[in-house]
Amino acid sequence: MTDHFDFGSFMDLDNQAALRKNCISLFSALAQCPQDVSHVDMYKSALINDPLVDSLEGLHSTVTAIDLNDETSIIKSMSLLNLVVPSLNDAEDDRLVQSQRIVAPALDERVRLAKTKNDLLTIAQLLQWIDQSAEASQRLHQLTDLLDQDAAIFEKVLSALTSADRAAAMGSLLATLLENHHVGFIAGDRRELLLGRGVEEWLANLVTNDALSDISDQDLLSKTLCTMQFDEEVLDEHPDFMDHLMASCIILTSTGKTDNSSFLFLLLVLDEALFDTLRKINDTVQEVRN
Amino acid sequence: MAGNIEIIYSGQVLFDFGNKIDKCFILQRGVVRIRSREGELLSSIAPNTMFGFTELLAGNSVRETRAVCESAGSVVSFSSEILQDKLAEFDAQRKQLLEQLAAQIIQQTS
Repeated sequence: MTDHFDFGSFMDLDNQAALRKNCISLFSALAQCPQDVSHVDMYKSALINDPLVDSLEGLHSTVTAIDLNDETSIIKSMSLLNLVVPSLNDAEDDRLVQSQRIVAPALDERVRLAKTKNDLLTIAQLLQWIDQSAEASQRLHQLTDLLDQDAAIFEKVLSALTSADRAAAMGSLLATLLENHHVGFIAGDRRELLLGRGVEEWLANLVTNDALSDISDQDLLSKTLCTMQFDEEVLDEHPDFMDHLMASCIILTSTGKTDNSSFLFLLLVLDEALFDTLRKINDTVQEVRN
Repeated sequence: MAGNIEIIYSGQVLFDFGNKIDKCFILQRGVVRIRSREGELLSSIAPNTMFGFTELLAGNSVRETRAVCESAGSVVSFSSEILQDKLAEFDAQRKQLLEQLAAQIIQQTS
């Protein structure tokens, strides 16, 4: 890697066109499903040896690191090529159009075979390449972010990707999922974690993302979980009851009991000693166990 | 030290009055206009043009101009040290000539 920017060579439009051609060829080869190893190696080598590559931060090292067994290295390279190509001289624009035609069936095949989050992230790069717009790609990235909270979204995303208007279908799916997310009820791994600890499903479904926002998975797994019935009359005799409750626990959710005269709290106990003083006042505390 | 491709957005200020001159640019796509403190248009940058270096050549360390992106596009940015290193290779006479030219350009546009 050189330690300077060769602006003389870079501003020569012929050099930019050559670099662009090498970038397009490599992206096309990487996008294929399955990839032809010899094609990838050939275009990778051509790009690494391009005299302008050293002038662009990170391009040389990212392309050099491409390993067809390492999906992350491919996604990272595609992402950089998606950034570099539109910024270079486009005298040979036909070459990009040609590449987009080649990549389109590979995209369909990748959607058909997609099984992992990395598969979706690769598809997002192909979408950006074909559309030369970040819109569909960004939507897919947002959807893959939501996968971390609910793996069940995966099939819905695939379904959106196979629809005639992918961008619209993903936008619609994203709007629905974000609406549910804003309502704030937990889903996915954290809900499973509470169910696994023995929280009844109807109660786990009332726990909000906001309530869990400051709690680590480790605390959620290891700290005492309790339910407590709470009647406001207790405040007559113990006006600081709620203060102590808030100081000793995180209230994961609260809901009215059927008799409407009291509340049911789901609590994660952080300070056992302080909470014990509350147990002595309120004998409805029940530890949640599976 | 090498160039970075940066996406630029309409309305983005690439550099402003008083900013340290730490980067120079090559406009790849889009439109960038350079304005004086009074708002006067000093230059419109065309694609594949280097800009943001004239004040550096004149020996300034902070900006006296503002560069605003008038449309979305991209630039390649590179550290002004690269340019200074190149200048250091010039002999005193050529360096003086460049500084005078830069000073004249600044004077004409201010």
